Amino acid sequence: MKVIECEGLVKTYGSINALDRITFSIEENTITGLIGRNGAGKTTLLKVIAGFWRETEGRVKVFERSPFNNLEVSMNSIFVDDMMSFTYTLNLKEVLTEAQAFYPNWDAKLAEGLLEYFNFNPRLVHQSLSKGKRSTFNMIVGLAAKCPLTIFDEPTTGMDAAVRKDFYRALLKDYLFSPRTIIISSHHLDEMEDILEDILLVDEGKKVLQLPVDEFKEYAVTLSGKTAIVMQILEDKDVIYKRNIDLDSCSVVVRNNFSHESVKRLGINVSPVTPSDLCVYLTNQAKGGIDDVFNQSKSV
Amino acid sequence: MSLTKVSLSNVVLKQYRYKLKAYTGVFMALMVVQVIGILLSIAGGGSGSFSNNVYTLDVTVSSSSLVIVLTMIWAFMNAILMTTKSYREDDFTFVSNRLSYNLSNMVFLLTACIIGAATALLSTGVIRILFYLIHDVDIFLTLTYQVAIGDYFAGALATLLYILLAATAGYLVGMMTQFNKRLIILLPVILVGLNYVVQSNANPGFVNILKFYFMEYSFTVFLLKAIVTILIGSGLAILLSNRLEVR
Amino acid sequence: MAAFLSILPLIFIMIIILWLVAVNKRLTRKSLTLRQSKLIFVGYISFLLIATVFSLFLPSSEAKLIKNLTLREDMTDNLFMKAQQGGFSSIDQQRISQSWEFPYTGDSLTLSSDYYDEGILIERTNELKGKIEVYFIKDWQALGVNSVSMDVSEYTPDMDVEMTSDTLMVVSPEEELIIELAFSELAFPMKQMIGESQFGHGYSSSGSRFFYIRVPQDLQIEFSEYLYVDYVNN
Repeated sequence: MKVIECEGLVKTYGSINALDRITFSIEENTITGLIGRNGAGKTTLLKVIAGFWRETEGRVKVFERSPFNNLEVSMNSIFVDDMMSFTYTLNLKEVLTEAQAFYPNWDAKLAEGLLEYFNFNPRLVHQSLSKGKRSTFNMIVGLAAKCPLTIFDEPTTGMDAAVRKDFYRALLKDYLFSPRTIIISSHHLDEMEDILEDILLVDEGKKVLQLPVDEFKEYAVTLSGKTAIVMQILEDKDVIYKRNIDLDSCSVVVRNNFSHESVKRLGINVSPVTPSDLCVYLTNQAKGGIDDVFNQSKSV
Repeated sequence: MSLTKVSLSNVVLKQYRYKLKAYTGVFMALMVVQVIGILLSIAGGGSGSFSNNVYTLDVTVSSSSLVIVLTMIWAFMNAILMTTKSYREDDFTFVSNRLSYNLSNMVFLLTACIIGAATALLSTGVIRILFYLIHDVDIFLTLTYQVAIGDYFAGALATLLYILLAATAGYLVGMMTQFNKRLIILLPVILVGLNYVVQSNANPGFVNILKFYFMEYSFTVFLLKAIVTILIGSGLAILLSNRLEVR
Repeated sequence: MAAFLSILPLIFIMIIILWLVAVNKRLTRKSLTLRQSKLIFVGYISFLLIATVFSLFLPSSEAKLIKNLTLREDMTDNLFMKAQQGGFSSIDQQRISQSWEFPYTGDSLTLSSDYYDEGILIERTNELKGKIEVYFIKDWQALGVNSVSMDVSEYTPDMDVEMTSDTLMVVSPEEELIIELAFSELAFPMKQMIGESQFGHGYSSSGSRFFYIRVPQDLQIEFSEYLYVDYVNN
C-alpha cells in the first residue's frame, strides 16, 4: 500500500515554485530519507504532506486522502521539527500526558524511558530547554506517538554527535519493534544511511531520484586516471560530475551502468561514491564547485 | 499499523481540554483587568450632593459597569490573540484541522466569557465594600427596582452576550488579519460603510450600531440580535480560516 | 453616553495594558505554572464570593425612589406656605420630624441659632398658656444622581432646641456635618434588560425645612436680623 502519493505537485510562493511538479510515492512501513540542499523544497514538501500547507497544483494523497484539513491524516501522522511549540504552562511530563490524550498509539513507557535516558528534568518547561534538548524532546514525542506516518524534518538540529547517534539507534529499534512509515529529512546523510531504506533526493522543488539505499550506493562510481584516457571513455557514459585535479590526471563521477572490467583495463581507477557525496554531485547546479567562485575572482 | 478513525467532536473535546490547561494566561489577564476595573470603579459612577449651612449630603454611585466594559475589551483582545500564529502553532503540534481548531477555540472562548461575565457580575460586592471603606459611606441605599428574578437572569445573560459579542468581534478581526494583513485597512471602511447603509436621515453614523445593541430594551429581540451576530461572526471566521496555512 | 465618552481614554490605556499583559507571552512564560495559575484564580473567585457575602451586611436601607415628580401630590405644595396660611394642622404628621414643649411664663422670648439659617414660622395662639410648642418640619429632599432620583430627607440630621431662661436656641447637630450616602447601580446590561434608561439626569430639589413655633398670643418675640422669621397669618 502506498502511504504517500504525489503527482505533479506544485507549491508556489508568489512567483517562486517551491515544489515544481514533483511526482513520487512512498510505500507503507519504510524509512525514507528526504535529501536535498537548503531551499530544495524539503520542508515545503513535508508540510504539504502533513496537511499544514495547501498544494497549489497537482495531487497529493496521504492514506489515500487529501491531507489538507483532513482530521484523519492529522490523527495518523505527526510532524516533528525544531519549531514544535508546546504550551509554557505545562512541564515536560505534563506535555507528554497531554500528547497521550491525542494519539491513540501513544507509548507512554517509551516516552518516559527516553525522557529519563536523555536526562530530562520532567519539571522543566519546553521553552526553557536548550536547542539540542528541545530537538531531543520533540524526537521523543515523535517516536512515542507511534503514528502510522511519522515525519521528522531536520530532527537532529542542535543535537550533539552522541545524541544524534542515540537518536538514530532509538529510531531504528522502535521502527523494528513497531513498523511504520517514517520520513526523515536531513543534511547528515552519512550518519543515517544505515537506517534508511529509501532515499528521495530533491532539488529545486523537483525529484532528482528515488532509490533504495543499496541501489543508491551503487548508482555511481568515480573514474580517475590520466585525463586523456578518461576523457576518451566518457563518450558513452552519463557524466554526473567532473572534477579536474590537474591537466594530467582527473576524476569523473559517472552513472554505474557499464562493465568495470573494460575500464580498469585502460588503467582507470574505479571507486565507489559515498551516498552523501553523490547527493552533492547530483544537485550541483552545473556551475562547477565553490572553487570556481574563487578562481573567477582571481582571474578578473 | 492500522489507521485510527476519528470523530470531529472527539478531537474538539481534546483540544478544548488542552486549551483550558494551556491558556491559563487568559484567566490571569482577566483577573488583572478586572482588578484594575474594580479599583477604577471606586472613583464612582456619578455623584450628587446637597449642601446647606448645617450639613452636606453626598450620594455616590457604585456600579460594576466599568468592570463589564473592561471585561469586554479583555474578551476582544484575547479572541484576537487566539487567532495569532503562536497560539495556532500550539494547536497544530498535536492532532487538529482548521475546523476543530476553530470549534475548540470557540468553546474555549465561550467558557472564558462565561467565567468573565460571572466574575464581572460578582465584582459588585467588592466594589461596594471598597466604596464603603474608601468613601466612608454611612449608609448604603438599596434600590428596589420593580423587577422579577427573571429580569436579573436576563441581565446576567445580556452581560454574557455583550462579552461574547466582543469576543466574536475580536475573533473575526483576528482571523481577517491572519487571512490577509491588508484587511485591517478595510475594517474601518466596512464599518463606516455599513453605518451609511443602516443610517436613516435622523441618525448620524456611528450611534446607529451602538443603538442597535445598547438601546434594545426587549430582551427577546436583544437575544436574537446578539446570537445572530455571534453566529454570523463565528461562521465568517471559520470560513476565512479554512484556507489558512499553519506552522 | 457622556459616561461612555469620558471613559474612552481610559479604555485606550487599558488596551495598552492588556497588550503588555497578554500579548507578551514572554512575560508570563516562566513565571506561572498551571497549578499556580489555578490557585490564584480560584483565590480570586473565592475573594469575590466572600466579598459579595460581606457586602450584604453593610449598613443599608431602602431608598425612597422618586419615579415621577409630578405624580406625587405632596411634592407640589409647599409646606411652609401652607403653614403660613394657617394650615399647620393639615400637614402630614410624618413630615413633623421632631417636637418639643417648653413651659414658659416670661413676657418676651429671644430666638437664636448657631448655624441654622432656614425658616422659622411663629404662630401666636390663644390655645397656649404658659408653654411653647416647637416643631421641626422636614419635607422631602430629592437628590438626583445619574438617572435616579430619590428622597433622602430621612438621612438629613435632626435639629435640637435648647431653652435657657428667655432664649430659645436652635442647635445644629455638629459643625459641618457630612452625610455620605451611596447606592449600587445595576450594571448597564441589567438596566437595559429591565428597560431602565441608561442615560438621563436625576432630579434634585428640596421641599421646605422649618421650625414651627407656637407661642401664647401676647408673647414678645425678639431675634437677630440674620434669622428668617415669619408669622402665621390668621
